[in-house]
Amino acid sequence: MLEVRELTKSFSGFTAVNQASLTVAEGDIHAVIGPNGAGKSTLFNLITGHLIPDSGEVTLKGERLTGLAPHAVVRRGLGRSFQRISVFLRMTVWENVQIALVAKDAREFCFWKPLQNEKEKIAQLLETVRLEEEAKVVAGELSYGKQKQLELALALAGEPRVLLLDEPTAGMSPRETEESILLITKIVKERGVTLLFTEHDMNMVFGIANRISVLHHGAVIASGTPDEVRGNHAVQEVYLGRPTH
Amino acid sequence: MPRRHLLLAAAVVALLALLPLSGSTYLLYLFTQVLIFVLFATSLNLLIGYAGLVSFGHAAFFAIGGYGCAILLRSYGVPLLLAMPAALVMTAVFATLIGALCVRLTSYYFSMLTLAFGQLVWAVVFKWRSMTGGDDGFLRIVSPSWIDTPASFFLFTLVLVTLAMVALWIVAHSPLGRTLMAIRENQVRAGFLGVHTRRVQLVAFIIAGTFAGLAGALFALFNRSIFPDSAWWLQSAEVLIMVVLGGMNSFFGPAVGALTLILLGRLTLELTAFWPALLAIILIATLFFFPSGIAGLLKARGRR
Ligand SMILES: Nc1ncnc2c1ncn2[C@@H]1O[C@H](COP(=O)(O)OP(=O)(O)O)[C@@H](O)[C@H]1O
Ligand SMILES: [Mg+2]
Repeated sequence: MLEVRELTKSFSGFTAVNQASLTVAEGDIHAVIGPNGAGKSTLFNLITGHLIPDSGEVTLKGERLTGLAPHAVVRRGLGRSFQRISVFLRMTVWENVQIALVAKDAREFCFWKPLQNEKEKIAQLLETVRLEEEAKVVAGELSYGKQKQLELALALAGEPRVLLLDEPTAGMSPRETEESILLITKIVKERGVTLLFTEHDMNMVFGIANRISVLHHGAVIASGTPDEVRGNHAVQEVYLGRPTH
Repeated sequence: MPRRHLLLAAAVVALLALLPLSGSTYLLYLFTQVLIFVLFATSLNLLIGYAGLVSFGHAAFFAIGGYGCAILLRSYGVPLLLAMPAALVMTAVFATLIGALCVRLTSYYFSMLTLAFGQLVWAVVFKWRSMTGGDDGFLRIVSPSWIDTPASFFLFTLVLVTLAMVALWIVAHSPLGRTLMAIRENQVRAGFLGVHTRRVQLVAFIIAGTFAGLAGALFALFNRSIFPDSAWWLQSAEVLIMVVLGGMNSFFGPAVGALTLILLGRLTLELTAFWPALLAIILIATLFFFPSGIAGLLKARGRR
């Protein structure tokens, strides 16, 4: 479904992502793990067109994504969240989701269709991410965890076929992390969305992912099922004796 | 809140429609001018307030609309009802070309580029003497007889400005208005929702420019003449001050700003020589003491 071929990206001489390749099959729950600074976020930014790779390419269902602008990548069925929360902080939760739906239906230029027409859809999305209660709250005033949920709602609004979540639980308490991961896997399975995500909690990763890729110094040093990755020597070396969060 | 504003606006239009009964030419001229600048300032606020794009060259489109209409009318003998729409189309075309380049840049760079294009339009108008009359101005613009009196021209302006304001209100409160605000707040996120951010900004730029062109066309007809000054950066600055003074966070704020600034200009006629200085002081006072403009002040009072 999603094919990443030999992506490389340097920042003024420092190679953040180095010849990284991975394949995500339809319906996969695919985790990208690696120590801080391994290049996970950069990899996601390259896949989604937020950054332009020095070399390599990304295809979705055989169609080339590399070189497309973010909006064009999204239109082809890819959705994403950001490690650093990126929502519309001065708008209410309701308005955040509303704008996401306008964008999804490409209704920016429908002057005659009032904004209020999508009540049920918005309510439904808010229910999905459990933010019904907060509909009228300004996003900037939400707790960190709830902002993460809103971030998820925005990514889901576009009804992506492939969803990229960059550390969806970063900064959450262990309990929030667990709840949030369960929610995400539930949504993903219900909707038949393919998921590519990064996560620092290894128990979670090995618990829910059916494929794992390990990134180290920008290179993919292992990719396979959780058992294969667990048994991989290179991976053991990277993580040996080192707490993973 | 917005519904109350609409009712108030409708009441103002109804009252204005009665203004010819006063028989005062002075008032008719004054409010014709106010209406034109209400439209001009509101069109700019679509960019500043909604899109967060601070244009320093909005007068370019005011001038293009004004000169376009005037030249078609006088030099080519095109009837007004054709000349005006044609001038608007012309303004839209220029807004498309200029806007397509400007929205490639963001923040200060966008502002600087609009300033540069504004000055370019001014230079063309200034130098193209055979077409525009250069700095002597383009004079003796003759309106058709049905809008030949102060009262009929005022009503003509009232109708057009009201229609234009309704159109701008619809745009500002449509998905486009909301999308512009989203881009202003977080352009990256908007892009990753699937919004072609530049295209949306360009459409706003074209709409804003075209309505400024309508204001310019009315201005030329009103004065029966138009001068290169109308494209000069000071004109852009003046309408920008109207927006800031009135309040850019409110749809009708710039209209209030236009009214206030024009009335101030009238009250200080003896000080005309100091008008730029006065403008500067008004701007400074606004920024320091009520940064959300008169509309912001009114809102704060209403809340108490
Ligand atoms: N825009 C950038 N400019 C310079 N260096 C960057 C930039 N983005 C990331 N890096 C560097 O690239 C490396 C990988 O970063 P990142 O992709 O954020 O890692 P991860 O998400 O795995 O923690 C880090 O060393 C980081 O400092
Ligand atoms: Mg990261």
